[in-house]
Amino acid sequence: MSYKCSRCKRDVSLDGYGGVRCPYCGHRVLLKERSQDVKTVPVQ
Amino acid sequence: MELRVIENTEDELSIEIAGEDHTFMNVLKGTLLEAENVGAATYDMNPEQSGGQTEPILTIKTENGADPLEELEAAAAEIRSKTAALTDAFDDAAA
Amino acid sequence: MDEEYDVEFIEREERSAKFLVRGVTPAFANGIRRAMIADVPTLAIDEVRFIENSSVMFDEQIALRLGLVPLSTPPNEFDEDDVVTLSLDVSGPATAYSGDIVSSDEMVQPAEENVPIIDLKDGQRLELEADAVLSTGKDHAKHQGGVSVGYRHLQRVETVGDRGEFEDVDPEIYRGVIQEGDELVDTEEFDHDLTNRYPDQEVAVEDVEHAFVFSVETDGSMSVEELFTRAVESLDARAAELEDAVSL
Repeated sequence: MSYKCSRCKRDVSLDGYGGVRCPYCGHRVLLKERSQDVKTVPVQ
Repeated sequence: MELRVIENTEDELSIEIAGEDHTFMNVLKGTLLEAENVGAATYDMNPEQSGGQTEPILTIKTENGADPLEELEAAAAEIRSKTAALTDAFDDAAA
Repeated sequence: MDEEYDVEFIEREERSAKFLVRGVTPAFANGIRRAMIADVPTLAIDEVRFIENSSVMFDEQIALRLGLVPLSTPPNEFDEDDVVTLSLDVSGPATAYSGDIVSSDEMVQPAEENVPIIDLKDGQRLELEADAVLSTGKDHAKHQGGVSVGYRHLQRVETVGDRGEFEDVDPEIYRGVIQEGDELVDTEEFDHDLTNRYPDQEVAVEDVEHAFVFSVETDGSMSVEELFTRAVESLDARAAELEDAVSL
């Protein structure tokens, strides 16, 4: 899962042990980024 | 197009024509009615009103001892000759 | 029925036409109309793969818009299972237009270049790949080749006498094409009002049997001629199938 810290704007990846916290600045608000996967959408 | 005969007597035929809608059924009915020995021709689209029947049912009644199945075949052939003649006429005008 | 068919063009442009067909029954005319709308297949985008979409709209919304872009569909080149791949890559600030779609097949191009898909602001980007498939209007309206298809009876106009000199004249509105003797006149020419054309005369108007004026407009995926011919072909194909099935 890739997130972005809402304060320092750096990319953050969470490992499940460190809790929800930016490892660079300690900020607790992280924004979820869109996945890099190609998304297939049917047109209907 | 799948056909299922529901009733077939000497002068009457009921047949289910699966997969068709008003587009073709009405053309077919109209053409059948032009035939000399067809007394009555109709179709019913049955919008789920009779036990889930959703395919159109064509009913033909013939006169003068004509075989309804043969009339149906003749009507199909008649539609084909109409489409051919119309295509020719259209191509002439469009050329 | 050994009636003579006769076709005459009244108006003819690339995407729209008005033509008179003589000799068809109402049932047949309606069959052709319905087939032009729902049974002539055209190509349209049916699946979109989003590589990047940082625009303000959801993937699904953009996919829906892409589906509605008409694509030129050359006759007899494609089958129902064929897939044509298209792609789009636009970075903001810019508007992504249908004309930005790049096709892998030269024959298949957006019929309209100026359909806006989405406005992209600075830093936004849309990159995608799309699959276009062949299907009919019955399946989904995006596959409808004929956008405006209709017909009216041809109407015969005859003068039956003089109008009273001091009579009040009510407008007599007719829309379509009228026949005067052997001449065909579009009602547009006299603003659809017969009292403009015959200010001093009483006229009688009646439908001409088996004569229909078709007004057809396509979405650009094919010409009107193509659409009509293929609609008639589709009726023919069904009649052929029925004939085969019955004769067995």
